[in-house]
Amino acid sequence: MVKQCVTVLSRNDISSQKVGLMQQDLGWADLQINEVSKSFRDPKGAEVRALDGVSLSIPAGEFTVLLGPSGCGKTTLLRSIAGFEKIDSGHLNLGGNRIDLLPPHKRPVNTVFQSYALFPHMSVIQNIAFGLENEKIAKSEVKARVDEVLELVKLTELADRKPSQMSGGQQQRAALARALAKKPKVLLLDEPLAALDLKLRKAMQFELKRIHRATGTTFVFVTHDQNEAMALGDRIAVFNQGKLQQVGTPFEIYTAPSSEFVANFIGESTVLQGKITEQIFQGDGLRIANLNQNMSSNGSVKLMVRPEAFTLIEGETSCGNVEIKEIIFTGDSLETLLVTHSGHEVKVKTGAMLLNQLNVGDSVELFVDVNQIGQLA
Amino acid sequence: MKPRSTTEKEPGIYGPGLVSLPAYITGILLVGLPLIVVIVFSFLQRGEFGSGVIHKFTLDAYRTVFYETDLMGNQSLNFSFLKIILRSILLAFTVTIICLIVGIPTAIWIALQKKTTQRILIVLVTIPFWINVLARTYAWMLLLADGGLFNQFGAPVLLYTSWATFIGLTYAFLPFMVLPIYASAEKLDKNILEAAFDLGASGWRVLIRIVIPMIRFGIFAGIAIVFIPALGAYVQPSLLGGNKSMLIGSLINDQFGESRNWPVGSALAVLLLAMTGVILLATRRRKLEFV
Amino acid sequence: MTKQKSWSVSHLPLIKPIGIASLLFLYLPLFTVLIFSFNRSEDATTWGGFSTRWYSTILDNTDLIRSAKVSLSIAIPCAIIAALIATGLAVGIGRATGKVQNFLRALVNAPLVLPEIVTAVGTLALFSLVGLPLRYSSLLFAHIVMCVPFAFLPIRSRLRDFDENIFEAARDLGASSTRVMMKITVPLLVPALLSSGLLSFIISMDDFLTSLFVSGPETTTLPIYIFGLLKLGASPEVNVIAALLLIIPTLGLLVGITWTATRRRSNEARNK
Repeated sequence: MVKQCVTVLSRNDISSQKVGLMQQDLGWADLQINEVSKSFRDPKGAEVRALDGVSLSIPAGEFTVLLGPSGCGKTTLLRSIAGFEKIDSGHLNLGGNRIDLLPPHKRPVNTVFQSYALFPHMSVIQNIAFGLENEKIAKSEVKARVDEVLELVKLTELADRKPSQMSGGQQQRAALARALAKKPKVLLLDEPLAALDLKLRKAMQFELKRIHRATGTTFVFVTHDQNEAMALGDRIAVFNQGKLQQVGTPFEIYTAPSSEFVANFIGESTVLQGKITEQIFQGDGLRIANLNQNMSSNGSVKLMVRPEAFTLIEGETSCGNVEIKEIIFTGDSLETLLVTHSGHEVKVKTGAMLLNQLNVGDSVELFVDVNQIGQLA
Repeated sequence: MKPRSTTEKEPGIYGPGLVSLPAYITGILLVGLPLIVVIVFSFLQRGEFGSGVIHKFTLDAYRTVFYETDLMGNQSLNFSFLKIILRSILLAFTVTIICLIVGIPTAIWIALQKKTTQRILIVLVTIPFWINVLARTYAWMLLLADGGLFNQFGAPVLLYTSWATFIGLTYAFLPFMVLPIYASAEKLDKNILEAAFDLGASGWRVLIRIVIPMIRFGIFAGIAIVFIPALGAYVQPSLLGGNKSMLIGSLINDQFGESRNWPVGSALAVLLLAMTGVILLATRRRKLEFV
Repeated sequence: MTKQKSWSVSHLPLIKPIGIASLLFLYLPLFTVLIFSFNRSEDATTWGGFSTRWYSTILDNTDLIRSAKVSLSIAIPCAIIAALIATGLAVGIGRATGKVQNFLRALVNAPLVLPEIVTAVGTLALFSLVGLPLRYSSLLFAHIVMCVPFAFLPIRSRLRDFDENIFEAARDLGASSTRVMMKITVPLLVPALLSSGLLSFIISMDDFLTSLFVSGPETTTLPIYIFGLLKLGASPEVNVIAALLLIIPTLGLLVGITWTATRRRSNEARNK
C-alpha cells in the first residue's frame, strides 16, 4: 500500500495533497480476484472454460491492463467484476467485502463499454446525471459533480449534445465521464479505444493516463493490443484460454516472459532450446558462453531472446555463424531473419545503418547481450 | 468469440419482472390455452342439442370425420369429409404454386430497382395488405359476376365457382408471397449476379442456378405464409365459391354453427393444426421466428 | 470500345413483364371497386354513368353506423391494452434466458403462423369452457389476445435496434429495474408503442373471422355486418362501402409514410 502511494505520487504532476484526499475518498479498496472460474456452453453444446482458476490482486489506484487474444477470458473477467456475468466458483473482494454476490447496481464499480452505450435519447449532461440520480444526492451536488467530471474529460462545451451529434472520440469521453461521475472504487474499461483510428487512439491513451492520475481510481483496462497494454498499464495481466499466464510491469513482462506464449504475444522473440552446462548454452545451432549465473544449469532449457538483444557483425558475446534469409528495412531499424546451421530461425533487430553491409545469403556472425536473455518455464 | 450465453439473449433487463406478469397471463397463456382446449374438445362428446360439449372422453369426433356408418351399420371411409380435406389441400397447393410463379419474379424485379423505386414499389405491394379482405374479395365479386366486367368481355360467369375461390385466394395472398421473397432478394449482393453474367451465363441460368437458390429462405417463408392460411380460408370460399364445393374453413364454421357438432369442428381444427405443423417443419422454420 | 453495363434487369428473363403484370393484377380490382362506387346504375355490376348518389345514402344506414361504433369501441381500447401488454411481454421475455426465452418467443409468434380459424375456434372453445358469455367484454378480450402477437413485433424490432449495452450500462450506474424501465426502456420505445397501437387498431377493426366466432347477438362488428351484406350479392351500397374500405386505409398509409419520411429527413438534417 505504501509502495503504491509512492508510485502514484512520483508519477503524477498534480499536488500530492489532492491525491491524498482522493485516497481517503476511495477508502483504499484493493480488488481481489480469488480462484475465479466460469464455464458456459458454446452454440454446439460443448463446454467452454472462459475463466479457469484465475487469481489476481489489484492494488487500489493502479492502472491494470488485462491483455490477451480474443476468447482468452479477459472480457469475461471484466464483466464478472461488473456483475453482468455470474462466476461459477471463487470470490471477488473489494476492500475486504465480497462483491460477487451483489447485483451490478449495488457494486461500487462502473464500466465504460466498448460501444460506449450512451443513452441515445439523453444529452451528455443527462447521461452523466443519470448515474448520480440513482444515489441519494442533492440536486446542487449532482450539478457540481457533473460539471467537475465534464471538465476532467474536457467536454464542457458539448454538454448539451446528444450522442448522435458527437464524434466517436467525444462519445468515448462522455462514456468515461458518466462512469467516473459516481466516483467508483474501480473503473472497468472494455476495449474502449478499439473503435478509434490510430491517431485518436494515441491521443486518448494520453488522456486516460492523465485522468487516471487526476482521479486516483483503480482502472482495469481490457485490450488485445499489446502496444496499448504496455503504454497504459502500471501492471499487465496476460491471459490465454481462460488462464492467467503472467502478471507484471510492462518491463517485467517484456524482458522476462514466463512462457513461450507471453514471449510471443508481447513483442517478437526468438526461442532457443538446448542444454546449459557450466554457463554455456548449446542448442538450435548456436553456442552462447558467459551466461549469467542465475541461469539454471541442469539439463534442457528454453531461452528467450528479443530481437534487439542480438547484434550482427560485431558485439559482446558470439553465438556462432548464421545465414541471412530475409532483410526488412523499416526506416528507423533493420529487421533480419536469419537461420542457424541447424535450420532454426532467429529474429534480429539492428540499426538501419547495417543495410549496406548485409545481403541475403551472406553468412555473418551473430552476437548477443547475455544480460537480456530470458529463461522460459 | 464473445463470452455470452449461447442463445441470442435479448439485451439485458428492461425492467422489473412484475410488469410482465399480466403480460404473461394474457399474452402467453391465452395464446397457448385456446390451442390446448381445441385439442381437448376434439376428444369430448357432443353436447345436448348440439351446443357445446359434454366432458366425457370419446373418439366419436374423429370417427365421424374419417368414417361414416350407413343404415346397415357398415362402416366405410367418410368420403365426403375426406373429399373436402383433399380439395382444400389441392386448392391451397395450387394457390401457392401460382403465387410462387408470379411472386418470385415480381420480388426479384423489385429488388433489382433503384433504392427509391424499390421503396415505392414495396409500398404499392403493401397497400392491398392493409385493405380489408372483405373489400378485396368483393372486388372479385364485382368482376366475376353475371354482367360484371369479365362477363361483359366474353368470359363465362365465374362467380360462385371454384375458379372464383381460386382467383380470390391467389389475389389475397400474392403480397404475402412477394414480401418475404423480396426481403431475401434485397439482401442479395448484385455483384454476384454481375460476376455470373461476366462469366458468360445466360439469363435463365443465372436466375435458376444463382438467384433462386440464394433467396430460398425467403421462398420457404413465402410458401408457409401462403399455404397455411390458404388451407384454413373461410371468407373467399364463402363469398366467391358460393358454398357449392366446401372447404375445411367453411366446414369448421358449419360445425360450430348450423351443424352444431363442436367436437367434430375441433377435430377438423386439430387436423388443420397438424397439417400446419407439417408445413412449418417442411419449410424449416426452426423457432417460429417471424421478424 | 465503350464498356456496356455488363448486365441489367432486362437480362433476367421474364421478371420485368411478370412484375408489372402482377402490380396491374393487384390494382385492377381495386380501381374497379373505386370506379363502380360512382356507378349511377342500380345494377351494381354494369356501368350506367357517373354519380355520387350512393355515397350520400351511406350515412342513413343506421346498422352500418352502429356496427362501425361497435368496432371502434373495441378497436381503440384493444389497441392501447395490446400495446401495453406487448411491452410487458418484451420486458418479461428479455429477462428470460435460453430455452425458456425461445419457448416464450415461439408462443408469442405462434398465432402469426397458424390459420386464423384455428385460433378463433380455440378462443370460442376456451370461453365456453370457462363459461364466459359472448358479449362485449369477451369480444374485447379475444381481440386483445389476437392483437398482442402483432403488437409485439414493432416493439421487439425496435429493441433490437439498440446497442444492447445501454440497459447494462443503466444497471451499472445504479438504476433499479423499475428505473431502467421508466427512464430508459419506455422513453426509447415510444415510437414503437405508437406503431404497435396503430397496428393493433387496424387489425382489430379489420378482423372478421375471430369476431364471427366470438361475437354474440349484441356485438355485430363492422366486418361482420359487411360480410352479411356481401352474402346477399353485389349492390350499389356495398360498392360504396367497399370503396371506403379501400380509400381510408390507403390514405392513412400514405399519410403515415410521408410523415415518417419527413421526420427522418428532419432528423438527418439536425444531426449533420
